[in-house]
Amino acid sequence: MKTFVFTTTRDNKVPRSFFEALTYGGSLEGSEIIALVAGPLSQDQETEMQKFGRGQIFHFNQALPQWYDTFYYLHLIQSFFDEKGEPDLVVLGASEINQVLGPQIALKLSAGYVARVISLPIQQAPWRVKRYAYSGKIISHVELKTEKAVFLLSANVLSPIELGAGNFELWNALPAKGEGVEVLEIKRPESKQLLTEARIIVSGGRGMRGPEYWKPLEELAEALGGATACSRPVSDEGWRPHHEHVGQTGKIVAPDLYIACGISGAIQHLAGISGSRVIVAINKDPEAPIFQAAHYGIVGDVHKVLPVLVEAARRLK
Amino acid sequence: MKIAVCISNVPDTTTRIKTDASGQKIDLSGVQWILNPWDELALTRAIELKEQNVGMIDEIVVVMVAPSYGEATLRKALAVGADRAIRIDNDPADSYEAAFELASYFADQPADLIFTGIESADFNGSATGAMLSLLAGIRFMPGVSGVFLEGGQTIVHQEINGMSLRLKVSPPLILNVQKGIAIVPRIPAMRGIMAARTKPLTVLSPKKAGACAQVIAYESLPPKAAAKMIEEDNAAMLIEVLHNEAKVI
Ligand SMILES: Cc1cc2nc3c(=O)[nH]c(=O)nc-3n(C[C@H](O)[C@H](O)[C@H](O)COP(=O)(O)OP(=O)(O)OC[C@H]3O[C@@H](n4cnc5c(N)ncnc54)[C@H](O)[C@@H]3O)c2cc1C
Ligand SMILES: Nc1ncnc2c1ncn2[C@@H]1O[C@H](COP(=O)(O)O)[C@@H](O)[C@H]1O
Repeated sequence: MKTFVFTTTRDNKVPRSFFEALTYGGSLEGSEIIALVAGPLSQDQETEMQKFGRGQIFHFNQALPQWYDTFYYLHLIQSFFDEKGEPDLVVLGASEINQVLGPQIALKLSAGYVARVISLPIQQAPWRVKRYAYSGKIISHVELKTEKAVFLLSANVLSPIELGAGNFELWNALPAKGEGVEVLEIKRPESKQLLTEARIIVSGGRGMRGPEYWKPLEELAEALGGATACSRPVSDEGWRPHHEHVGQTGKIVAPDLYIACGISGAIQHLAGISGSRVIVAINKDPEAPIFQAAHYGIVGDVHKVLPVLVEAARRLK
Repeated sequence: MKIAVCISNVPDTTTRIKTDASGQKIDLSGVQWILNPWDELALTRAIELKEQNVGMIDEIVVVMVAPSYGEATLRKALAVGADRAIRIDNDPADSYEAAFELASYFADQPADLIFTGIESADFNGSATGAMLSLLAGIRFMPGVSGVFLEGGQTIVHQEINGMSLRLKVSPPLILNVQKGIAIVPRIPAMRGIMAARTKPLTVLSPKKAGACAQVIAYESLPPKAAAKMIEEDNAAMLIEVLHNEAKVI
């Protein structure tokens, strides 16, 4: 069984989600991996990839389009399939790019598509996997009617393990660009870490009281090497930038650690964080629903608690 | 110019989701149906565009693939400001089936701008727009956080993979909307509700391509142990516990 894994690079790095996908693909019986990494890479990343791969990893070492050109990516992958043969299974790590590509690759391969996959297949013929549905409120078992499958994994459903020596080589293709789009402006957001890939997130809600009180929260994120996030009303009020908004109508995150400061834990907020490994709640109301979702909790005033945590986190380093 | 908004009919976001006695179906009794939040924002933006560009937009059509119980949601979309509603009479089992019906519809009834949402609140398939684009052969714009019309051209704001772009593109387009497309969803006003009663709602028969995927069972989330509480006066302990016990820092 040929298993295709794909990622683009960002800042010359491969996202962790790629290693999760390699691990997923490599854990299946009889699976032989052919992976494609598109975009520039730093040297140390190549060695890293060899450790996780079991099979072949190809590197398309060219600068990627500035805008999200679906035509370009589809063409690239189609050229790859033309040369290396069509895969039986496609495993995609959670990324915004894969979220767009997955459904289109599935159509190209006449494969069934499942997003938000949270388990290794329960069964391979026909394919059966578990996934989140209803915004993480329930798990569904999905069976495919197709022979081939495309799975988009939920973030953080498995920890990458080193599977052995993968083969890493360059691969080239003549890229084709979608015509008729003019780029007027490009901005990079201030934050270096993508929220969807952050391992640690410190997040603030309306209980933070106002934008001028965010300093200790930012300091805690910095001391822990994490990213900052917020609830929807906080971004709606303009206290924090929109890209920090977490929840059903914001970003869906799955870090190892999510610290919710002054967030009540509304069901729409929880829908965005339920994939987190450890949730910490700091809230002055012991009845706040966030404590139901949390693994650790402090009933108290964020303005008192946060500076203490910053101190302790700095000492840890 | 014609705008279409693809509307998914989903349970209210606060609904507690539980299965029926068989364990294989969601218990839909008592569910309150709403426009999928993204589609509601897309519709809001479509109406704003029509208001801001007087005379440029001939109509806003809302399209839904759903059984008859979807009609209340379509009526709501009409009350908010859509001009016409289409219901394709099928209960799609996956995003492919929904995309297939929509593609057949748009092949027959083209639109210049077609809005889809980044994700539905029920399937969370996050696939319909991308599939529709390939099936219909219409350019797909993912990650759309804003759209404006300027002299026959469409200006699209795209936020994806940590980049934020402003692009000029010409229709036809499928705009897959996300956060930012509109801030406050329009709600129906009394006049809108009255007007909606006489606006056309057409039911079309489905093409029934058949789904690629099928839910065969549901499973509740694993039960979670109660949170370990740490005293406020002892807050520094939290860092220690996260380091030594949870091992996440
Ligand atoms: C369709 C729809 C989609 C939505 N999508 C999202 C979404 O994606 N993300 C999202 O977050 N919300 C979403 N919401 C909104 C959601 O329902 C809640 O309103 C929102 O999450 C509440 O934000 P909050 O917890 O910051 O504020 P509040 O609910 O006001 O909670 C503030 C909390 O802070 C605590 N607090 C106050 N002062 C202090 C203090 N000094 N120290 C410690 N604690 C304190 C309070 O006890 C309270 O629990 C959505 C709503 C709808 C209808
Ligand atoms: N049954 C449907 N009828 C019309 N549009 C739909 C339907 N299902 C999904 N969509 C559109 O596709 C988007 C994404 O849905 P999904 O692929 O289910 O996550 C939604 O926000 C809608 O715009």
